[in-house]
Amino acid sequence: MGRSQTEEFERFVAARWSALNQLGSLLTGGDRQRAEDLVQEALVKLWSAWPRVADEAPEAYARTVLARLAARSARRRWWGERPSEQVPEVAAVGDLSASVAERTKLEAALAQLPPRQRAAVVLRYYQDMSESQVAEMLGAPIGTVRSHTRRGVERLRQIFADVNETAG
Amino acid sequence: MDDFEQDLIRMLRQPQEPRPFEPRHRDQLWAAVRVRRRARVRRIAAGSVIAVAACAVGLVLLPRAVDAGPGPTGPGPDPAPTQVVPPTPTDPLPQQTSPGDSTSSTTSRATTSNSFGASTTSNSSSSG
Repeated sequence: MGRSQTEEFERFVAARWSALNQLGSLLTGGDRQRAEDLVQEALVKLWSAWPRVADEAPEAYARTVLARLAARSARRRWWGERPSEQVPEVAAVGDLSASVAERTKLEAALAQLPPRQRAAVVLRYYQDMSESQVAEMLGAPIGTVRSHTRRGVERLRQIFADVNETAG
Repeated sequence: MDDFEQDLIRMLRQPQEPRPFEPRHRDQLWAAVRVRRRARVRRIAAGSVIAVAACAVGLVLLPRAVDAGPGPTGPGPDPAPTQVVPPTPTDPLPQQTSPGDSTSSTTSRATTSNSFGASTTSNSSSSG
């Protein structure tokens, strides 16, 4: 590929790196290193397809690859992590700002979901996509996506209720 | 959409600290691109080698197969058709002569031909 295409690709990556990493971070339940790896893998695939998608929707392509990689990923937040009944990361008062604490709590809750449920919830509520769009992005039937989303939200509701009980 | 779902949306879309694309990210990205390209070239090369090897084996084996001819596994000659004499239900002879007459005439004909010759036989048959 030519020099101009390389420069164009690098400009795109520099502009969208942060947004793609934020999506990756949610899709991996707050595992930033894993998110970075997935974003890099998605961008490598994007580079292979760059001549075809550069003029159309390169970000949509990268997000689709990222979401599918995350949904297939069986890794949890840390190696050797065991799911527990209670979310451990409850910020102490004055330790972190409220927003950061809330973010940490959210990521810890997301980390407890299976990858497909997490991907369905994140795409539906963070990306504001319809169920059919999520189904298309994940390459799954719409009924499956609906089921994953509903179960994921119910699980998150339960986790947050437990955390609030513990904190209260 | 209930309160919890709206709260979930708010938490998910909370603005985050931007993460800049650093030189180390750039280096890692291009290194990964090179690794992928090398792996792809290796895969294509391996596929080509396998295809060439398969063609070579085919070219070596094909002349031998042609020289050997059809071999024992070829189709054998067709079996000779068995001559089946169809029954002649319209033959009037058995129905017209009685079994007793037929037997006696045959016996007498055989006997007379052996003992006295053909003329005697024909006479005996016609007289009986």
